Amino acid sequence: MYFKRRLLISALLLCLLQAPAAHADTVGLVAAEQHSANSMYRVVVEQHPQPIPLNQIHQWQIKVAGSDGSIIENAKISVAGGMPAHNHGLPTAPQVTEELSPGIYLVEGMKFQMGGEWQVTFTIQSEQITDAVTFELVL
Amino acid sequence: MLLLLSFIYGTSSHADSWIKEWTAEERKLVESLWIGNLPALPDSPGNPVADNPQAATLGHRIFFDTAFSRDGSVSCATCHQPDLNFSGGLLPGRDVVPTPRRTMSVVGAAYSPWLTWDGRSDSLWAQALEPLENTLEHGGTRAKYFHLIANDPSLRKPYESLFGMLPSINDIAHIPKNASPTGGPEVTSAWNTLSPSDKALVNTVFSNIGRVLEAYQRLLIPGASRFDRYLQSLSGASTLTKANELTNDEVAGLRLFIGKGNCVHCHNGPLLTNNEFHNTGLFPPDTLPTDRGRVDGVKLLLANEFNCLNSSHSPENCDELRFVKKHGLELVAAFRTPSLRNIDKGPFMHSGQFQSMMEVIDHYDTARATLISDDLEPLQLTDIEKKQLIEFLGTVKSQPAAEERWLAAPLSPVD
Repeated sequence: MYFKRRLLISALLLCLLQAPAAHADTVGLVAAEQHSANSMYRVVVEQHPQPIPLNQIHQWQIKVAGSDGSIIENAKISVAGGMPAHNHGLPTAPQVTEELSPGIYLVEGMKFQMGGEWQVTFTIQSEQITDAVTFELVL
Repeated sequence: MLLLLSFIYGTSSHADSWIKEWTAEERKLVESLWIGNLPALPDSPGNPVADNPQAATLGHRIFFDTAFSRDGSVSCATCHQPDLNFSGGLLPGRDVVPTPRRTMSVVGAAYSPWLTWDGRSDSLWAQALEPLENTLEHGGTRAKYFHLIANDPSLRKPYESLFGMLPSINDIAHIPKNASPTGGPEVTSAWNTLSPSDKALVNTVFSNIGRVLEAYQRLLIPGASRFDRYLQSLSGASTLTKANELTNDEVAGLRLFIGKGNCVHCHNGPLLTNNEFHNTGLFPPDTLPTDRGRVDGVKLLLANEFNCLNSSHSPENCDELRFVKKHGLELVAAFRTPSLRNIDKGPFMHSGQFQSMMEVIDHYDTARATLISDDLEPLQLTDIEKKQLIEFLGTVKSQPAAEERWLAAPLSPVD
């Protein structure tokens, strides 16, 4: 009963605070698919919590393909990121910990601790070809 | 829904007309601060009694019991003072040397992945153990506390009902009265005389003291403040009254808090903290800090015998520690963001650098990039704006949302 009441209040508050209707700027990933800087890879963020949470550690899944669309298996991928406007990095040290299925990689340890514009960069190495892809997101 | 909204807007008093003029982004930020958006308490995977009422009762007793110190003079509540939202100023310390950092509040701490200013503990129960042995704080040893639990029936009985039987008094009489792997040579030598099974026994009881203290502290969650009641009344879910209305200056302070003041960058969410680490430029731009904060705290965390990974539960429950940031300039002289709910009388900042909230705001008003932090920029607030910010912070005060009996020492040994 208590939680139902809280839910109702929350819903009402959300309605009030968001009305009259106005479109906020993009929230979340600006684009879920990106080509790497030198067009060697095409990466899609396939899964992440919706909405991307603040102050909560979570996972992403990314799909990595070559420029011709071929699946990239057994890639070595590192993760970095931060807020360019604040000149600081991510609060955690996320890692790609597993290739869940061919070309689908699990990214653990993702976390964002401030609202604003963020960048997340995956540096991908496969068969001597290294290239980096950057995603932008707004929280 | 349109009817409902027009009803709410149609019946609004002049006092809430401001919110209709704000942008959608501003309104979303305001809502994000509402205490009603606080989620359920996160699990404490290393503590099977974290939400056990009997454990909370025993933890309550121990929190206020000065017997849990070297000479019977210090309890948790000595520094985490209930009248000061379970926090406190700088204290003189037990051995002449003052404690170098001020006491953080434990209210709402159960939501933080990191404890203390530098986050050298990753659970409330593990954090509770360090001050019990720190010579500047409680100053006892884990062997002393082990005997205290085993020999005092008013402690032993509730302990055994939670964690199982302890050996008989005769079977533990050989364990030294004071022994610990940390501390001076006398106590470490005594510790080294113990068998592995005796060490494990003492450590188990010591850890469980932390676990019951955590169970108690998980009850100390901020209640709804005037700010929260005001937001709730705007939703139409309760009546807007003079008692919970915000003044124009307080509303202006709120807008500064989420806007020009940049406060909400770090003091975000319902607890007004992101519980992460930031260098806020408290050192002169051309110097290096003496207190290095998180960069040393993370080393202590990784070496902490009671951290999530070292205390034998599943690594999959230890994501914060598995993916903790170990390197980076951002960690140098970075300290955990404190909640701005229930700010006390000060002094403020991790070492009590400022005596008043106005001094804190003056600092951010002029703070510039330093050798090790370059994301600060002067706020350039007017004097009126500074006062409005302080006025707003005054609206975010409340007692913990717990029964009165938890907010003071228990009436009897185990109340």
